[in-house]
Amino acid sequence: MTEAWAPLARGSNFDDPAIQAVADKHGATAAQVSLAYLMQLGCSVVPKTSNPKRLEENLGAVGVTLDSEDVAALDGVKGERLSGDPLTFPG
Amino acid sequence: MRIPVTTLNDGYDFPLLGLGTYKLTGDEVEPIVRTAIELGYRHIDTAALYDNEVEVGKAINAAIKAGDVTREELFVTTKLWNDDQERVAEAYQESLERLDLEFIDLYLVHWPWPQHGTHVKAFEQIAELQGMGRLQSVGVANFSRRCSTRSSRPPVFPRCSTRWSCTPGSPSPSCAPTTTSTTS
Repeated sequence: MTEAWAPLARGSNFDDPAIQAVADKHGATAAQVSLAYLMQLGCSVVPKTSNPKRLEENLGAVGVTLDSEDVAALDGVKGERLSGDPLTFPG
Repeated sequence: MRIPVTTLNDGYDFPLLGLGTYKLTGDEVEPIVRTAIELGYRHIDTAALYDNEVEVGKAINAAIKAGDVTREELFVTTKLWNDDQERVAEAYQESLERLDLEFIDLYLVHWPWPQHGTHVKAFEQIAELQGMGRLQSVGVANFSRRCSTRSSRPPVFPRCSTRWSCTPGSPSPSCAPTTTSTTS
């Protein structure tokens, strides 16, 4: 069982065209699509927010069901892990 | 909205969506945790490092007292910070007291910090706590496979959740659909 922290990459890839396209198709937001994708991979996600509207938005990811085309499109998103290298952090 | 759960390999249910609380501090913590619970969140993630266990615990206890939720319906995670890898039982007790909870659902080694050489033992001590009735599930965070194999003997993480920074474009090795290995 894997849990994803910083699952939204602090919003850094919300403008990604693949994420946007899937979001548009489902009438969802980039955040919801990102969370739905990770949950469909079997990850648990723990997005942080201090904004009640975002709490609701993130919860809405539960209602987004991605098909295999969507997942394939999201598999192609380029991104980077946010954290330091576990072998050396904190150095 | 019902949040899906997965069953951990120790048999406990783990909600797939939770509220992260890193960088939530002070007065903003309680209202956001209370609102999350009101909206239907059942999984709250904190850590000793976050310096908000007291506020998270207050919000949880207030929500229980108000009848919004029962303790059993909630899934609370906290984590052992690096400086405490050699005082696991004490650090766990301190987290319980700060949270003002009888038990914690999931306790994780927050970072491996392998250069210090105590991460495997720290995990084993967390696993011992699991048998003592105040901790349900155990796991590690930010452990790469290489971290796990760097110790002098093969580590066995028998009932283990892992926590990793995953995001679209960068899913972890163990949650990517193309890999057959799992971290168990």
